[in-house]
Amino acid sequence: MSIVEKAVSRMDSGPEKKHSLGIQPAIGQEARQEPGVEKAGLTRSITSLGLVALGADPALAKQFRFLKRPILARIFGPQRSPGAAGKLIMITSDLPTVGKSFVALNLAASIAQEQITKVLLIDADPVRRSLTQQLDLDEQPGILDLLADPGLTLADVMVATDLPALHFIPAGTARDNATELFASKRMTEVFARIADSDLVILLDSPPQLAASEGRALAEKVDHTMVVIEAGRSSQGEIENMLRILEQTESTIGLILNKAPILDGSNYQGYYPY
Amino acid sequence: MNPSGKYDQMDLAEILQYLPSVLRGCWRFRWHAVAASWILCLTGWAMTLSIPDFFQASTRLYVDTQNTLRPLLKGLAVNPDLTGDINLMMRAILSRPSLEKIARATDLDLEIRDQEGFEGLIERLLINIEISKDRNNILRIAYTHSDSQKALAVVTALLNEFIEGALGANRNDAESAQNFLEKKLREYEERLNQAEQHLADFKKENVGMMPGQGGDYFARLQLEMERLGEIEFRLKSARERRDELERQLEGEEPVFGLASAVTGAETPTIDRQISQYEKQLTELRLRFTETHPDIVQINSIIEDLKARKAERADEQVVGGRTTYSPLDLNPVYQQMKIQYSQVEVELADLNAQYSDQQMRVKNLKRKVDTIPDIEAKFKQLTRDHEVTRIQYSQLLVRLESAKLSEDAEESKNDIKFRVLDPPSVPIAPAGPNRVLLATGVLLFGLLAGVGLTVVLNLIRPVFFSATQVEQVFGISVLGVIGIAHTPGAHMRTRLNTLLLTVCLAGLLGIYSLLLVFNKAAVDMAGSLMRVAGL
Repeated sequence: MSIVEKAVSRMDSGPEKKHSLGIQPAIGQEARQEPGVEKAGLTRSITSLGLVALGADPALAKQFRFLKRPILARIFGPQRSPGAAGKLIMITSDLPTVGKSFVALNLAASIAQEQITKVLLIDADPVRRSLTQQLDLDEQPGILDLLADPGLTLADVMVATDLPALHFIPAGTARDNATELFASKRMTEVFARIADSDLVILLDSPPQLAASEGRALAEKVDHTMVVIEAGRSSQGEIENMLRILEQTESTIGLILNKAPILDGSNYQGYYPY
Repeated sequence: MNPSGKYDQMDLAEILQYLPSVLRGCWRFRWHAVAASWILCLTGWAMTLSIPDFFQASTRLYVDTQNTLRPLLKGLAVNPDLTGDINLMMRAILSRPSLEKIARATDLDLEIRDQEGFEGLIERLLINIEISKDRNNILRIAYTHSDSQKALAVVTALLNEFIEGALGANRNDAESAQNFLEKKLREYEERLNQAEQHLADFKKENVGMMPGQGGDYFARLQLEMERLGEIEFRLKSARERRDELERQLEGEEPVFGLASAVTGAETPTIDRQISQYEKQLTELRLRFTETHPDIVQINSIIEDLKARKAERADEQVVGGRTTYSPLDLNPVYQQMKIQYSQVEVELADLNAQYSDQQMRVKNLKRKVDTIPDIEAKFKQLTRDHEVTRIQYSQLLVRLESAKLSEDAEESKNDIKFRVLDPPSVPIAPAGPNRVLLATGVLLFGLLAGVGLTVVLNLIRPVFFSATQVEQVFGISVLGVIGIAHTPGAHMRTRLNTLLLTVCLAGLLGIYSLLLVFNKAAVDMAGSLMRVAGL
C-alpha cells in the first residue's frame, strides 16, 4: 500500500485544487471560459442517486473501496505510462447487462468522494447510454459531439456534479460512425492534451463482444478493466474477449461482478496488483 | 499460465473447494432439469401403464427314471446316464416340431398370416416357456401370456407332449435294446464261424502232428535212433576188423619173407636222373634265386626222385625185390588181402549208411520238437471257439428275454409319471411389477434431470470466485463486487424456489397417485389405448 500512499500524497497538492479541475485549454484554442470554471449552470447530483458506493449498501461500498486501491495503484504505480497524460481507463465487459455502468459509476463516485484524485467519467456507450440517461443528460452534447466537431472543447461538454472531484461527459448525439470517431486521431489528441496528472478518466465503454465500438476504444486507452458477471459470463466468451484485448497495448484487469459471498476467497483476487 | 491447464491433479480438498461453485453452476439449469424430469417421468409412466398384465400357468410332475434298458443289459453293457434322458425329453418338447404343433393346437396362430409372423410366434413361445427340473426329478413346466386361458392351454399341451414323448422313448428304448442284441448276435455268429474255420484249417495243415497222432513220430524217432545205434555198432566192429587185418597184413610179411639184408639200394636209373637234375639246378642257381619257378620245379622233381629211390630201396630191403614178391603168391596172405578190401568196402558202405541215418534222425527230431507248439496252438483255437460259442448262446438267451420283457412292459405304462400339480393359472397376474417400474421411472427421471444440469454446466462453465478466474485466465482480478440486492429480487428468488418446489412436488404427487390407484390407472390407460386405436 505504500506505493499508493506515495501516489496519493503526490496527488494531494493544494487546497485550491480540491474544488476545481485545472484543465489546460487545448493548444491553439481559447478556453471559452476562465480555466477551472465548468460549463455554466449544468450540474447533476450524484449523491441523490442512492449509489451503493456512497453508503446505500455498506457491504458493497466496502467492496468498492477495496476495488479502487489496486486500480489506483495500477494507474499511479511504477508501471504508469510516462508523461503527464491523463490516465485513460476503459471499463468494459464481455456482454451487456453485466453491470459495467453500475461498476463505473460507483467506482467513480467512490474515488471522487474520498478526494484522492479527480475523476472524469465519460459515457462512451452510444447505444445503451445508461449513465447519460440515469443523469438525465440525454439531450446534451457529449463525447461523440466532441470527437465529431473540432470546434468543441472538453469544457463544452463537461458536466459538474455535486461531488467536487467528479465530472461527467455524456454520450452525446447518437451517430452511426461512433466506431470511426472512437478510432480517430482526434480521440487520441483530445485526451493527450490534458496535462493534469491528477486526473483519472473513466470510460464506460460498450461491451467488447457485442459491438465494434468497444474494440476501437480499447486501442486508445491505457488501462482496460473488464467486468464479468459471476454465474453468467462463460469461459469461452471471456477467452475470446481477452484474446482480442491482449492485442492492444493497454493493461488488462478483471472485475468480478454479482459474485456470491463465498468463504472469504471472494474479496479480491490473490494478485490484485 | 494458459487457460486450458486447469484440471490437473485435483485432490479432495480442492474438489471440495470447487464443489459450491459446481453446485451453483448446475443450479442455473434447474428449470431445464425440472422440464426434463417431467417429460421423462410422464412418458415412462404412460409406457408402464400401457403394458398389459400377464399371467403364468404352471404344472408339476414327477418322473420315474427306471428305464427299460437297465435290466436287459446287466452284465452285458454299462449303465446309461439317467438324467440325460430327462434332459433329452425336456429338450424334445421344446423342439421346433413340438412347438409348432402346440402353437396350432392352442390357436395361438390364429392371427398370424405369414411365415415370418409364425417364426416370431414360435420364438416368443420359446422365450416364455420355463421348464426346470430339481434334484428329485420333479419337473416344472410354466408358460407366461397376457391371456390366462391361453397360458393354461399351452401348459396343458406341453404336459401332454412330454408324457407322450416319454412314452414313445420308452418303447424306443426297448426296441433299440432288441436291435442291439440282434446286432450283437449276428456279430458273434460270424465270429463263431470264423473260429470253426480256423480250427479246420489248422487241423488240415498239421495232420499227423495232432495230439494223439504225434505218438507215431515219437515211436519213429525211437526206432531210427535205435537203428543209428545199430549202424554205429556195426561200424565200430568193421573198423576193428579192418585194423586187425591191417596189423596182421603188416605182421605177415615179416613171417613170410626172409629179411635178407640188402645193402645199398640199387637204383641206377633214378640216380642218373637225380644227378642230371642236380646239375641243372646248380646251373640255374648261378643265374636265379631259390624262388625262381624253374628252380622250384626242379627241386620238387629231385625230391620225388629221391623219395622214389627210398621207396625202391625199402622194397629191396624188405624182400630184396621191386615188383613181384613171393609173399604175394602166399594164399593166406592173399586171403587176408581180400578180406581186407572187403572190410574196407563194408566200412565205406556203413559210413554212408551212418550219415544217412543221422540225417533221418535229425529231421525226425526237428519235427518232434514242433509238436508241443502245435498242441498249444490247437488248444488256443479250440478255446477261442468255445468262448465265442458260449457268448453266442448267452446273447440268444438275452434276446429272448428282451422280447419277453417288452411285451410285459407295454401293459404297465402308467407308473412312469405322476402329475403332482395339474396345469393351473392363478387369478392374480404374475406381472408386470408396476410399483417397481413406476419407482424406477421416477428415479430415472430425477437423475436424468440432475445429470442434464451437470452436462450443461460442463458445456458452458461460469465462474463464481476470483481465485478460479485468476487460475483460468492468468489475469489478475482487481476486485469483486457482490450482488446488489434490489427489493424485488428477493421476492423473485423466493417465488422462483417456491415454484420449483411445487413442480417437484407435483411430480411426486403423480407418482403416489399411480401407486395407489394402480389398477384403475391401468384400466384407464387400456381404454385410452383402445380408443386411440393402438
